[in-house]
Amino acid sequence: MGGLELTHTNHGFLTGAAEPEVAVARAAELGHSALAVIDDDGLYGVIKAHLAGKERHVRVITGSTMTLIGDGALPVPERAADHPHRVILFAETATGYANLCELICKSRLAHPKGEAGLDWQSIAERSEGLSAMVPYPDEASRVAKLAEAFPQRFYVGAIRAFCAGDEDRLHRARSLANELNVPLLAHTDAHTATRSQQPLQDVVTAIRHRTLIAAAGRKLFPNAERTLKSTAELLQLFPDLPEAVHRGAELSARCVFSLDELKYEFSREELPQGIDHPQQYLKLLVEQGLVFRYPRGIPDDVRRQIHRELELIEKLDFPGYFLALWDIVRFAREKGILCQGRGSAANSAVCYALQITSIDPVRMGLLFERFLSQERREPPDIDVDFEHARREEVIQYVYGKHGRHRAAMVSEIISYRGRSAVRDVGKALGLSLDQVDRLAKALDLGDEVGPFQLRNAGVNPSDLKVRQTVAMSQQLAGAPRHLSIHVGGFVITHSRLTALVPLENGRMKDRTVCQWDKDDLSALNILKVDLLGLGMLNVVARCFNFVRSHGGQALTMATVPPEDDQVYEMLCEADAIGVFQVESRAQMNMLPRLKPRCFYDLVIEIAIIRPGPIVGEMVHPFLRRRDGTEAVTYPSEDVREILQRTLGVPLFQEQAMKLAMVMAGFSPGDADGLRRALSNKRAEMLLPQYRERFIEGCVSRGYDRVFATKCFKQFDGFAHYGFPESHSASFALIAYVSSWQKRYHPAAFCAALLDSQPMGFYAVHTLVDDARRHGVEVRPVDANASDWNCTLEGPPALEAPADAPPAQWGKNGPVLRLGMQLVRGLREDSCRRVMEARSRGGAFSSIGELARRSRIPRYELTRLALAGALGSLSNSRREALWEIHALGPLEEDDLFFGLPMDTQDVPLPKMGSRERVSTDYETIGLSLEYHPVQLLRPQLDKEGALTAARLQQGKNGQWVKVGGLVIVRQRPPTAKGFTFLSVEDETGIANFVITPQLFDQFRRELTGTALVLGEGRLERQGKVVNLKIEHIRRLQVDLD
Amino acid sequence: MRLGYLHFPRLPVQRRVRETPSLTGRPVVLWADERGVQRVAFASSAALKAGVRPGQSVAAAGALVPDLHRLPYFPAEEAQALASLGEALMVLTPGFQIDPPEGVWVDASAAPLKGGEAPWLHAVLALCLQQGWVGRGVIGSERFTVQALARFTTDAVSVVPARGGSRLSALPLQALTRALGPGGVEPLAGLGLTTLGEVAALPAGAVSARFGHEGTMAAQLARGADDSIFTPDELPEVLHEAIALDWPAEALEPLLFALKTAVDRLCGRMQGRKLAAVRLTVRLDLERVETAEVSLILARPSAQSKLLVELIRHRLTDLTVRRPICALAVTIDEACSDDGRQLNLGDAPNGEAALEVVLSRLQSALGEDALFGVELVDTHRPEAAWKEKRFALSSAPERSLGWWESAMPKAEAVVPVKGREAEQLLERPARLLRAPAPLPAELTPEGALVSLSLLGRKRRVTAMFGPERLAGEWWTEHPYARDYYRVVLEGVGPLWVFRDGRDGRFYAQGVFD
Repeated sequence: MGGLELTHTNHGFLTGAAEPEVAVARAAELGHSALAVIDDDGLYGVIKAHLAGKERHVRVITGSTMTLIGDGALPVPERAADHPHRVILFAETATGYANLCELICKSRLAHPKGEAGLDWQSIAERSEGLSAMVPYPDEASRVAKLAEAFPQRFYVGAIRAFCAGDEDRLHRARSLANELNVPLLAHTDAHTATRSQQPLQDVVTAIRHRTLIAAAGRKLFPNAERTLKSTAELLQLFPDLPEAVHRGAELSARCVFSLDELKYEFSREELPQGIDHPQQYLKLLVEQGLVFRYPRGIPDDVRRQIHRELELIEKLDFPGYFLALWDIVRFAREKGILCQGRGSAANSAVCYALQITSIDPVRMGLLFERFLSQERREPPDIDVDFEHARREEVIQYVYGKHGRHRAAMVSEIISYRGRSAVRDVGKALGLSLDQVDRLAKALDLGDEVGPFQLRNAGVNPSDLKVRQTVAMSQQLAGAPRHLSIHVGGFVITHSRLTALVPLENGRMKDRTVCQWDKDDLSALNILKVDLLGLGMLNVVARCFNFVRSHGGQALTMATVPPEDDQVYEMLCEADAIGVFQVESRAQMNMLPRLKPRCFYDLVIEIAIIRPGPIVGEMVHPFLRRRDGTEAVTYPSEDVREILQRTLGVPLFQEQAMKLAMVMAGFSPGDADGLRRALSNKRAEMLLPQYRERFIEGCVSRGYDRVFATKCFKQFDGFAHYGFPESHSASFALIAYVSSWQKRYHPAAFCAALLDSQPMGFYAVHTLVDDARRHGVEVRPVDANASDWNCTLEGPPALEAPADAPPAQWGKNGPVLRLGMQLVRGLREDSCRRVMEARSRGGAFSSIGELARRSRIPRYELTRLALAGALGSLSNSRREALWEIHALGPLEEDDLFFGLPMDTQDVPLPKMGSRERVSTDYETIGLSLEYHPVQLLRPQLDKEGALTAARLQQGKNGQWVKVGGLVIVRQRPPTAKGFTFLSVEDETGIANFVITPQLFDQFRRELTGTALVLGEGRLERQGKVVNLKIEHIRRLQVDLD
Repeated sequence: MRLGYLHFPRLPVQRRVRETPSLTGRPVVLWADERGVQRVAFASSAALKAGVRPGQSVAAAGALVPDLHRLPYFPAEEAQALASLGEALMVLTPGFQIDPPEGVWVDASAAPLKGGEAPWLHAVLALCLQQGWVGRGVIGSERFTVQALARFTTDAVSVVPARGGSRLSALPLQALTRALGPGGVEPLAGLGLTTLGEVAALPAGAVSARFGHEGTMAAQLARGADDSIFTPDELPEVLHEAIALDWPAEALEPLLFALKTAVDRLCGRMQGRKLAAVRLTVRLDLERVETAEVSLILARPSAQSKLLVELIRHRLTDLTVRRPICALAVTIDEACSDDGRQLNLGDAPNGEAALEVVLSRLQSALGEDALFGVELVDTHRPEAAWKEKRFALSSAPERSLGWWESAMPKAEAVVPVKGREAEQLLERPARLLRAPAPLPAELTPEGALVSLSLLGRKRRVTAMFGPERLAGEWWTEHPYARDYYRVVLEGVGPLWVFRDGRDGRFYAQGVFD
């Protein structure tokens, strides 16, 4: 007979140090056949332990340490993990598991996030299928009735941890056990998997108590004995209580429940009269959808695909899932909320017919197996994007329709990363806040942080605290920090969700979340739907609204003219600021080289600038083949069919799957297994088995071994994040629509972008400068003309002429009036009051009148004045301020409310242009008067610097200088330490490339400076021009 | 009234450099803690040249200047330094007023007696230089004008006639910050005003209507009008009473009369100021210029004459002097505020006074450090689990035992451990050694402890219980990992010993009674 070890894990959020997987591995090493996971008031770490247990042949017993309240005890915050009154519950059976979930839900949902607590009566009521143990001796009166509720299933914990008080505690445990007539159960109260994790345990304890580790005192364990131990060690530890050790095996034998037993049933939609089965209803809806999608008749291949999909959906019993999704999308459409499915769902013709997705998978030749496979029997993953600003309406609809006992949002475990780990560890170890801040930034800049980097960051590398902070942060990185809400994942069930997954309150109002993240749910085949918010859909919807309401066409995503040459022409010129997915520096470098000319090119463009294709070295072969400098060859006709569209280079996950099926004889399920292995975090561990099978399969089918090996090497790249074709196609559609809007309605597009901030890569000044470069007239914020959001004024929003040069697209079109939301320090409520007063009584004739009619606070009036928004009421900003200061009390009703107390005019110093520009940037983030670099142009001319526009005309290898404002700074992990700066001046954007050595040399200039002057050699590749920097310095600016 | 203002730029840095000449010419910053962030309060010229600026975080400054010297800034010490300077200047001025951290006001009324205002100011600055401070000075009649010119002009010496506000016009707007605060200056800066002259030129009514009292004040100050008055700092008063005896005393009795008179006066002064003596010295002047001193440290601060006389009497009883006593002086070396005490029913101040006498005598006889209280420290390391604290009689017994009470269930303390001899011991000894003492040990080949050498003799271990394992403080330079045992040594009794995990040796930590 063996013992049973119980452990807390690091998924208990700063309670334990042991990762569930490591704890299971350690239990296996120690010879345990079972391990009970007992996180506090939750089942946070149990699934990861369960999965690891299956690999290691260690049975994981589902348990939780419940906080007891009642008898005057109050609910305790999560951080008070040393609350004395606790009982551990173990799930013996499926009923017991359901009861455990219900109990956790009751405990958690009754309290705000972070608190828990349950009275003994509640536990006693749901004792069926559960065993219980008080880990430390408690008062007999408190637990006696609880013990009665668990006849023959109640234990008193016996602990020896080489601590003061061990024997007394054991004595009291014996007394309690005798008094209750229940047995003792020996355990170690493990919080670590090994003793070497004790320093990490000390750190997390200090963080949990928000104290310095040096001041934590007896909050820390006195030694490293709260760790997993073998049965032999336990017996050695309890020579006088061998039966208490062996009782663990008895408990373990009784807890036969496995998480694999969980049965999940998706929500059932209400069916219309006359329809008996969800599948029947789904078929009906699909038929109706097909008529909408193919008004000229349903093609045969579509019909065949639909038939195949419906058959599989029925076989796998997923019609309810599709119906639920359809219902959510229907609701959104009814409410006018723009939405579109993304991800692998775009591979499904059924989803297309139901209008969940917008890409025709049959026409695109997309692989349905990527979405759903019979062999896999796994739930489909459907992600739907909604307009970001209106997603909450959809979420509340789901809660309302299904009820909170049947619907909950998926949680997201927020883990420590480099920076957050350094911050918390540094604070716990007693570094000052500025040292922590500097260290965090230093660690964030790269993985290798040596004395040089530390010294450069202003911290002493030989300081013990600094060294320990670096070391402990690395250990803490990856550990869960807190539970957050997934961006949009929802679990919806037919029966009670609370009996399946523990739920708790989210920090956000009206949100209940389950304690598991998407990976945990997926591991147990629990379906989730992702209702995501996408900022660009906001932009697209707003732009359509602008156009329609300003005398233009009423358009939708489906009616935007497809395959417009002018749109592709614009993209080929890398004119893509603000465009969805292709506005990044890397994408803009790629556009002129890839030269997209059709929708599918855009699909490739979006997919190719990803770590997967870059690491898999697919980018350059593809470009060479596209340019015709490399021959496109295929080893067989089958392969040609798969890779033809990507010129023989596998760029998408679906292609890898198809190649595995065609070249190596993988089944669809196996091929999807390969795809999953590629996208798994532990791809390096999982891939070797597939590599051998793939290569041998290829060879046996007559393919060259070298080709097969090379092919698989390219697959390796997908382990670094690649796009499925369907996902890329969905995004390409939004990219195309946003490009079209930028090309034909630049003013409306820019207005929509400004109203949807923050989003995208660029700040508002870059977006506005870009619109002005395209001929859009932009008018300043004006209290007499602006709304909260941007508006269009002047001529109707007709499409820009197709033959106009880029600088003329916005000419003769509507004028963009900046919205008052750009004014920092002005609240929306105040702005609404200004707008209301204006609409009621007409335009304001003076600042005093504005103040009296709108009744906004003086501070916000001064913000409007400084922003130049009172330009129509005053000659200058300073005169406006002079006038505002003269107004009587504005904050409350007063005899002199808003009346001018003095009318004298005085000559105030005039603002210089530099001061105006500086104030513009400080108040609204942009200046319509000058680009800041324009003011430095004389200085830059003296230095011999070129403008960004002139740089485009330079020769390859030419030594040049360019100065400007750093608008984007990127150091992508795939760039091998290279840093890329986008530097803007009054003529456009220049691209700086900085080597790792140079980055170290000029770190200060590169990380803390807005205006820089860089010099180096120009590198030209076709239309793509970069400046390879060899020296860089900050530009000094003096305000006049 | 004519006033002088002495401005010593970056005086705290000057002081540090003066105290540590090796810092001369090197980049130095003084930092102050601001909500957990160490920020530069003052920087030396070398640091300023390298780009360091006040207000910057020390880490940022360190990134700019790798060999930066970082020293903490203690405002109270700087104020004390200015006060000392002010006292030193009293050879030239009847009064001074410190204006920390960089300025001192001086009463310039005496200037005509020293050859005129400019020569007098030169003499003042020369004296400052003698003291080690480099500064500049301005004499004038309006405080704001004088101070602003001293702070914002570079002339070493400047004399401004009365109503010399016109000299202010070129000064920057920031000169008003000390008088009005940043909030008072910002609205003016927002109007684009950059100099005091521009502020002065604004119409008075317009300014008053817009900025109220603060605006009016700003405009007045900018025009040089300032009616604030100079109030010299009071000198710190030493509490001291001396009495010369009519004829030399050879016995205690005549001395006690004088002593009581002196102590009564002192206590009266202390009571008037709500002070109580903490430490005092009695000096006896003997014949032939000899002196004898008796120092007293009170267990509880007191201004009660009777108690103090009683305590001094006890000390004098033990004192042997060789010559007659001519005079005595009592000086209060340390005093604290005395907020009085509300007696509770059952309090016995007489008994406490008697105890106080005993404690005071013990302290005086054995030394200041010999009598102390004990405070528990929240740590697992036994020798660090307590610390000394100043002994004081508390007015009420401690209600809470702190963490110990909450951490350890009460039942534990009363449940006896049954079993072997060592098991009957409590888990912690009554007496801890100040520091662990090495105990040479004899072990069996299997590692079992046979005997320990104590006081040069090997003593057999007759019983042993443990281990209790204590390990931690890995984040310090001195981590520990120990296995503790309760060991009974033959002929000695029970000891609390540990085996150090790092060197494998045994150490004694405590003794069970």
